[in-house]
Amino acid sequence: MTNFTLGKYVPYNSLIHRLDARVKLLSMVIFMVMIFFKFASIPMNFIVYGILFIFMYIIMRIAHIRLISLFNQMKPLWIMMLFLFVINILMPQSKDGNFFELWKGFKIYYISIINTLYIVFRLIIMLSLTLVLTSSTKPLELTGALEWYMTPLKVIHFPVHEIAMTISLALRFIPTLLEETDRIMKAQSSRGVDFEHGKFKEKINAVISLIVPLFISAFQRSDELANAMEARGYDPSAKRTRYRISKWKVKDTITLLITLIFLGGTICLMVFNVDLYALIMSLCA
Amino acid sequence: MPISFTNVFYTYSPKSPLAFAALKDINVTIEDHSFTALIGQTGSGKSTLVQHINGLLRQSEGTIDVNGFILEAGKKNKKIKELRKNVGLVFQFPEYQLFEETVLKDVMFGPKNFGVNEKEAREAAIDALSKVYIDKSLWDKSPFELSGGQRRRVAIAGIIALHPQVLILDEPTAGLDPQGAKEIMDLFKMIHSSGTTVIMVTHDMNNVLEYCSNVIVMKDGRAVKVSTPIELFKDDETIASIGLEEPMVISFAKKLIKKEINISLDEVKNEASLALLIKKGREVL
Amino acid sequence: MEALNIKDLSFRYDSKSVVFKNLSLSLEEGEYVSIIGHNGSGKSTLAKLIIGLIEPQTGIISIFGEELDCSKPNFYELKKKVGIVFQNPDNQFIGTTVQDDIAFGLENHCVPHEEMDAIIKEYATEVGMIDYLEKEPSSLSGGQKQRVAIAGVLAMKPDIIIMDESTAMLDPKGKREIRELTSKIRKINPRLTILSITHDIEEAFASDRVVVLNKGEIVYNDTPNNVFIHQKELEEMKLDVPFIYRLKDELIKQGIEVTSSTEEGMVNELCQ
Repeated sequence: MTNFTLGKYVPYNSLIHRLDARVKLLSMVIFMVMIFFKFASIPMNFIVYGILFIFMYIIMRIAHIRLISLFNQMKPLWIMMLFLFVINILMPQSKDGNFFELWKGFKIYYISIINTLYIVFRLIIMLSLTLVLTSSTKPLELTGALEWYMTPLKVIHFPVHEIAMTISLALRFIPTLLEETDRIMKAQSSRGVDFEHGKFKEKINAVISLIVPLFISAFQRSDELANAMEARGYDPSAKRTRYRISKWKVKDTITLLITLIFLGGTICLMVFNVDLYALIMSLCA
Repeated sequence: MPISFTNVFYTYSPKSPLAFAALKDINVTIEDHSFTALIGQTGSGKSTLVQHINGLLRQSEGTIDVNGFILEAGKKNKKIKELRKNVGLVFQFPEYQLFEETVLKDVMFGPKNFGVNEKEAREAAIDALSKVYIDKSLWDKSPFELSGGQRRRVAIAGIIALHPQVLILDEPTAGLDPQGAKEIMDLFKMIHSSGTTVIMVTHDMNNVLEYCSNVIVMKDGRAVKVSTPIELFKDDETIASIGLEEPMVISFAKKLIKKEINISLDEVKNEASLALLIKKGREVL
Repeated sequence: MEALNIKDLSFRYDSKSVVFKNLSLSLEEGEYVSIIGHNGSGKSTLAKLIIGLIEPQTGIISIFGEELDCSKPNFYELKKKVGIVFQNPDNQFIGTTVQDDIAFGLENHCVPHEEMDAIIKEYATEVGMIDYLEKEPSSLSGGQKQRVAIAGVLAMKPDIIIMDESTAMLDPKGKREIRELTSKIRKINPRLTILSITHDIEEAFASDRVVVLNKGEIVYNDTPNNVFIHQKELEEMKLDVPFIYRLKDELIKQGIEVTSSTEEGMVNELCQ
């Protein structure tokens, strides 16, 4: 129950940790867009992916994230990748180009292998991006950043503040509710409920015996919480001051610049159809 | 057959940065038909210890023998359900585990899980509910309509209905008003006198003195003292080292003894017995 | 000066059950009053009425002479004068960390950002939680969470604090911490009025005045000694009396009469 690591904040005091959550969030989105660009040639695509991956690797080193945790995150995705691979081979998007024959009449196009590899590379980079963001940024800071970006939506009466408050309360109560789940499961196990084995009907009963008390206590909690918030003068529609104000620093500007240089660079490579691979090959020849 | 712990260790989330040794080298025996109190500060391992007795937690090292039922480290015991039928565990704030439509159904839930047929389960439930003084008029009500104290008693009835040989109680009086607490303690006294072994995790030293035959003192995951309650309360050194609050009758009697009134501490149980001893002591003067 | 005045208060949740009928009570500034009563006697409902979470059907609640009425413009200003600490330590911890939780009330009261840090540190120090500012609630004990709740309330500088069974869910160590903190706060700010709703009879014994609530009516409203002398009547209301009074009663049964009502006094008297 407690050993889930996905998106868990790891407290270090690295440069990446100290960056403003807003710049981290924006950079992540920009890099995510970048990996969907298409460049001049197939080798060129892989060169760009390689550069991005090396860059991400450096970032991860700075943020004290080990490569092994990236692979741990990918574990549940291996099956999906295999599935994609099979789909791509059985139903190639294009039947152009070279192929080899595995069996009689069963053709495998190289392009489908390459398409699968694209997906794999994109997934790896996307995962490392989210991993860097979530493990170096406190959930509360992330919520703050989201709220900041959504501020313009207030004009159309979108409840930005309420949503941010809801998210931060949810984050605050996740450990409490996990603890509660554990306790209720143990209490019901003591009454003979088997959460691991049993027939389908027994499993349903087991889940009901967990869900009902959990919901009832969650409702009671939310009721008491609402009282406590109101008693401390909370009014969602009223103006409030803020304790946590993130200050934009020079290093945030520099980070944003680096991101924009990457973005500009990749756009240039794409627009001018630059093929580094062909260039190197011609130089060697 | 008693319950015995031999060299038992337990570590929460082992092999992780959060690893925490909750039990360290526990060697204790709880005699059959005893009323044993388990005391110590929050986090000293009391609740962890009792959750081993019905196999909710599995020790990392050592052996536990519950009435001839052997639990060994690292081995799954397939008869765990049988053990749980014989060892009833009432969790802290058990009123949060209720979930059925009616009070009666909720109390029947446990017996039915352990394979008792509908008719016998109903009989066991009715018997248990009358033992905890839940009036017949409430049996068909939803448990959520009852008051907090009544819900607590219904939850306890849900365990009593299993007719366990060993009844474990984790802070059964927490949050109850004094009258409700006394009623519940008298109930446990009655169950104990009918031949059930009772083990109670508690912070209330007045209850320890008045109701318990034995006491196990936990500190930082170790069982530091096993004795009778009065032996413990005579031991000023242990009392000081674990920050225990003496029962009021004991601290009052000790003050009188200091002023040379002859009172035998062994006979002090409650206010009535103390008053009688004071009378005797003064006559000697 | 009168800090709190409740006059002819009547309240019911629905048409059937009457919680209070014509209840009147007043608290002087700086007073420490305990309300006792068995579960379901309406103690917590009274707390919710005083902080304006719910409205009475009839009757007037005045805070420092001003009527608490949600239709009047001074309602929010008056509400600010009353702080409350609830029973469940988990369900009133709003912030993700200790400092965020203390800040929550300040944010609501629009305290400027620049002033917050100093206020948070001042009250975190007062309740002994200054070393835990960055900690999350899941790593704190019940007693520590309640201390944070108290800091959060104190930071809003109320004139009246209601403790609604604030120690009921704590272990003896937590209870002791909160008891000691309460007397410390009273020493620092003698004008602070405290209304404690409690089950802990020994805690009630230590307050200036004890109010006994039964079936929505005030049965006793006097000094602890004048209240706990009525042991029989209190027991009929399912209420306990302090240890000293229980022992006194048992001593009378043995034919020993003691007049003193402190532990020390009794020990001395018995040794004569």
